[in-house]
Amino acid sequence: MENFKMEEFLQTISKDKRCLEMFRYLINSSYIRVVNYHNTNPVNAERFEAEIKYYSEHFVPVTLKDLDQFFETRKWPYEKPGLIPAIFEGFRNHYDVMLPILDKYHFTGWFYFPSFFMDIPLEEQLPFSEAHELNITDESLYPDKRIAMNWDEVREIASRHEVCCHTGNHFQITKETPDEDMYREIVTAKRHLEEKIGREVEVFCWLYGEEYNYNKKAHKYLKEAGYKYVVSNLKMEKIR
Amino acid sequence: MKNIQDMFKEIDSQGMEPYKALMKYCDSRVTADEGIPAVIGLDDLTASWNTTYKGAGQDEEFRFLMAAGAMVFASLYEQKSAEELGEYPGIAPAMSAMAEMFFHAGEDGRIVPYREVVKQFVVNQDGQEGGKPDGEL
Repeated sequence: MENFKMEEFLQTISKDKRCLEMFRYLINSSYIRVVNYHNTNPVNAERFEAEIKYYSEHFVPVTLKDLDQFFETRKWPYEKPGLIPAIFEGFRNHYDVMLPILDKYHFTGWFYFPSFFMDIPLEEQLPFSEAHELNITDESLYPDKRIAMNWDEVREIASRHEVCCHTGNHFQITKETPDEDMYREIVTAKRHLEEKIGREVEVFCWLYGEEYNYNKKAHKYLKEAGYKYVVSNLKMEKIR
Repeated sequence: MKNIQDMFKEIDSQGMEPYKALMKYCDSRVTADEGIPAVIGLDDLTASWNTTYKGAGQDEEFRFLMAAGAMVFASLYEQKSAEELGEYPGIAPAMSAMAEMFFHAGEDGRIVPYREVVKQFVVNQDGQEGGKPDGEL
């Protein structure tokens, strides 16, 4: 049995400031539970339903208004903790499988869309997904080759769930990304999504978990676009 | 409800094995097809750095266990090589492992792990279905 050594433990966690930051968020009650989903294939529908049903019994769903209120009043407005089912990539199987389950249990999903994916012609959607790390796990699911949601489906989701921008092309923005690419993936992507769904998109989510301060060059585009929240795999940051 | 002292006493008596077993379970999850729990920080960059918050009543005590659990996992993940960790800092998988082990406080004061949510869909190492994680404290 490996013994626990407190000094080693403290030294290890103090190496990375993000550890201490997360520690502070937890102690300071400034955190939220999320469950991340990518493919929601019909074969797993029973499992997804068990999960969403469980969340509806033990947690409250979270809307952007709840978060706004939390930051404004500095107090979580409910007795139960909140939980966000975060559904990534805009796959058609989200609409077909996950949406009816969320609606059945009146639980709010947060859907993260690479906003140019829905415009890709059917024949090109699979090659596009392969080229952009949109990892489809059941290619045979849709014989008509439409693996992304169409805009009518996105609009239906937007009518009762949260819609967030996950770049335009599922594009990894780094410190070296040229300005024109940053503009397209942050600003144009948001405007395109907004134009299609007819409402404001306030949340941007990086790929691979970068945080706001990681990429200062991107700040001007996030501000120009008018996002309110920036999400990484460690935090959700309110920037305006 | 178990508190942080209980937790560190258990670590003293059991060692880190339950935590390592849970990390192994986390590695076995199919992230493309399964719901993967995590906890993320909420940060208001427009407010003062020392702003304090009040969370859900049910998490009033539980947050301390989550914080301690996250740091234990972080210390274990930080020991892994950069190659093993890939693109993410050790704290990222640590927050997910913590959410697996400390998903929420049960009404009976128990710590409910995420695996309990999906127990009928999880196959244990012995091939049996069930929700009791190898790493349950």
